[in-house]
Amino acid sequence: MTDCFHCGDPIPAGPLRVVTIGGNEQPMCCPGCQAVAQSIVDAGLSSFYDYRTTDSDKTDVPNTEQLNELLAYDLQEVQQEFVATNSENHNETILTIDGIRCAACAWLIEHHVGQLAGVYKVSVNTTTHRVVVAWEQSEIKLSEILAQLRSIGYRATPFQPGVEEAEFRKQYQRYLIRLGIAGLATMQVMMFAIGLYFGVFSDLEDQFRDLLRWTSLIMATPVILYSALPFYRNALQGLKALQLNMDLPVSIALLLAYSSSAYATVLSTGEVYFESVSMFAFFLLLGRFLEMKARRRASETGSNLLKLLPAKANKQNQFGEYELVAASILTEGDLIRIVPGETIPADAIISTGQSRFDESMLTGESYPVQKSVGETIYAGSVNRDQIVTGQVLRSRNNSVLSDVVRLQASALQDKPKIAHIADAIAKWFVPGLLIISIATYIAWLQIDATEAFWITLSVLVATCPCALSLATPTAITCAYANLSRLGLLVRRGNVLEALSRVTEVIFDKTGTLTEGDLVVSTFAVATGHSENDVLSQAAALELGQQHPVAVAIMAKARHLSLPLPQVHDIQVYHGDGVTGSIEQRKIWLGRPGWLQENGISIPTPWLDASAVICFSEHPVGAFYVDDNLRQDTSSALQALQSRKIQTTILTGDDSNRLKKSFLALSLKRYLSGQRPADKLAYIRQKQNDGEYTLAVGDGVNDAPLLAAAHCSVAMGGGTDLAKVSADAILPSNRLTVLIDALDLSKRAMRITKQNLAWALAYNLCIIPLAVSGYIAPYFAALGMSLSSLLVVSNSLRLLNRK
Amino acid sequence: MSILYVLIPIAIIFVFVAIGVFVWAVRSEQFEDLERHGSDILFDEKQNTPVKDATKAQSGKSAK
Repeated sequence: MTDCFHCGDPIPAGPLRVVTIGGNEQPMCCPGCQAVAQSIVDAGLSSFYDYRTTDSDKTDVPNTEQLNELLAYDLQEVQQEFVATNSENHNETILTIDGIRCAACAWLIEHHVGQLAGVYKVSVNTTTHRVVVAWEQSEIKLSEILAQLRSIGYRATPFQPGVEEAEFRKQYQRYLIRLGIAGLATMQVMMFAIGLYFGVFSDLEDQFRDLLRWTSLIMATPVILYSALPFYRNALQGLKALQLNMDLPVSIALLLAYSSSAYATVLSTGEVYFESVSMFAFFLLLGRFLEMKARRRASETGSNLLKLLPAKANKQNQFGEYELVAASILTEGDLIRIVPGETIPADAIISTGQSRFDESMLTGESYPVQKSVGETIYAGSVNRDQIVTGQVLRSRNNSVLSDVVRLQASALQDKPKIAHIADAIAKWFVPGLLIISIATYIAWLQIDATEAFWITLSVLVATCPCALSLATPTAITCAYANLSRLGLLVRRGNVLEALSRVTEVIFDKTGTLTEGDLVVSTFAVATGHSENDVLSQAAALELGQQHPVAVAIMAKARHLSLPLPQVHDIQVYHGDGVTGSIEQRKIWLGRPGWLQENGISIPTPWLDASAVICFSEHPVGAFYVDDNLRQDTSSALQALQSRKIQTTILTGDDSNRLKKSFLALSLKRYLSGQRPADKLAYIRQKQNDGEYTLAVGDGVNDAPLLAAAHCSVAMGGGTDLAKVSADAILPSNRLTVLIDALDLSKRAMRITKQNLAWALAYNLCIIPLAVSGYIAPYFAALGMSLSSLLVVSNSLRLLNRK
Repeated sequence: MSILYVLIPIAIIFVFVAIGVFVWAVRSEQFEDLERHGSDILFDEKQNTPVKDATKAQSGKSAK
């Protein structure tokens, strides 16, 4: 056993951490796993380790700040959004949980949380990764429940269920019932039909034939009158909108075949098609159900990503103390305090202090902006450095942030629609079919009036566009399943068709093509000095600083786990740099310009560095801090180019720092300084030029763009507003997944077209036979089933990786 | 052959019972989490801590 007992990662060198589980000492890789394993053992739930089927997720030990974050969930105004009161007067809510792997996780969570005093119900759903909790407010706080979940290694968060989710759930249940009834009834009708077929070839006494027909009638009735209702409804809706959709011939065939079979049964003449209509309804329902299920799963997973992060604020009350309140209650003139790392709750004017603010989510600007007393800070940006207090300028729903939200909402309404292929075919297939049926009827009236109706009916049943209606939903379902395996969560339908036509991809830059964090991108050292030595001294000097350059330098040193030397007499020159002494030598670290002012000469190539370090006035190293490209950005952009797809970058960033590296990546357009409205105008322009657009972004400022595109993807690390606006979410942030998805969408369209071609060909072949009266009911049923099966198995090919 | 007059109605009754059972199963959300409850039977109840009330002992109870 050299791997961590909890998460399966290799054990790093150094002192061994162990936890005694079931009498044996088991190794642990990190304090996080150790703490989690220990609390599982302490709760007497160590048999979790005997049950689980996979390793658990790695978690870090939550620090007090993270645990304090949870306190905001106890606020009344915050809870209003996601807590309901159940029938027993307890508070009840649904949380989404990260890290659920198998049934043992569910068992662990239910037992651990269930034994807390004040928790009255806890029930985990491993499919949706959600847990329902009911608790008594007077006995336990929600934050305590969340903290307990943290302690056993699961992050639980309230989330924002999608609008359509409750509707999906009801629809899903209804479809499942319709499908079940259709399935059971079809099996029965098929049994009786075998008897009837048997009677065709031998002689079945009429009384038994009629008995079998009557029973088939009884079994087929619920299918036609209940299961098939959605088809009639869709057909009627289509007619109202003066459109002929696929459901129209389906409904006509179902109702006509059923009623004439019923007529034949009652009068004991003609032909019956009960088995065809029930099987037909069953197949179609199956197709729709699968599609529905894929969409529901996608929307649930999508909702799980929309975590509710409480918008909280520290507001000054009448006693001059700051207390935690929900940001929604802030009004103009309130005094608020914002600590480093906190999101600004409302647009405000700084009244004391100065700090840097990260506005990248709002503007796309990757460098934090320095602001001091009298300047405006915006809701949604993040305080980076120091405590500031501010006076609220306007309530939240008038903030700059909500202006963007309004822009996004209007863009969503004008989103261009992409036509379904199947609808295009239905446009001429449906009238064609109706004309042929009428012509057949009229022709047979001249030839043999008694047969005319039955032959026309066989035309309708035999050509019933069963395979045609299955062609798209089955392909879409399989493609969705494959997409979610790739790591792209589809939130809205029609993503596939839109993706398969994309001609231009519009990227946001910060946080989408780049990591979104400032890191040391280049580190140059003067000859005769070791990189690690210079870096460790720089990091020691910057220890505890909040400046983005300092944070980047420290992160780099930590990454190499360098030992930091002792520093004395640290002096911080705000906005310029730091000095200190290490081993009796004065060290300078700061802006090249500031060092020059202090009489230090900087070599020319280092003049544009973010910071230069000097050992007693000799420059020895230069740090360039930048927002790095993601690892797969260049390969993704090249893949797009090789697929002849245009790429554009629209960034809110004013600087053109990365422009060179992007243009080197064969990018077509790079537009900087784009505000949300500009991005929207650009994409509308492109759409008017007839381009099919895919937008990829992560920030609030990208929301209108994402909403307006034919198809859009939000990064998993993006803001909720971006995720809500997008058609799909990329939780892994891996851009190459987009390329796979584009290829898959093309394949899905190809397979859909094959399906449609097959279905049309089959119909064209069978029409002449049916028109000339050669199709017996059993043959119609057989042909229909076989052609549907062929279509479904063709769609199943989309489940394969390539 | 006239036994069919008895057997077929019996078969139909069976099917309607099956449909009823199926509808009940869907309504009571038996199909909501198919991955998990199969293995519930393998897990022991926790030892040496009395369970507070009976509802919590049934760890496989689905939410209503």
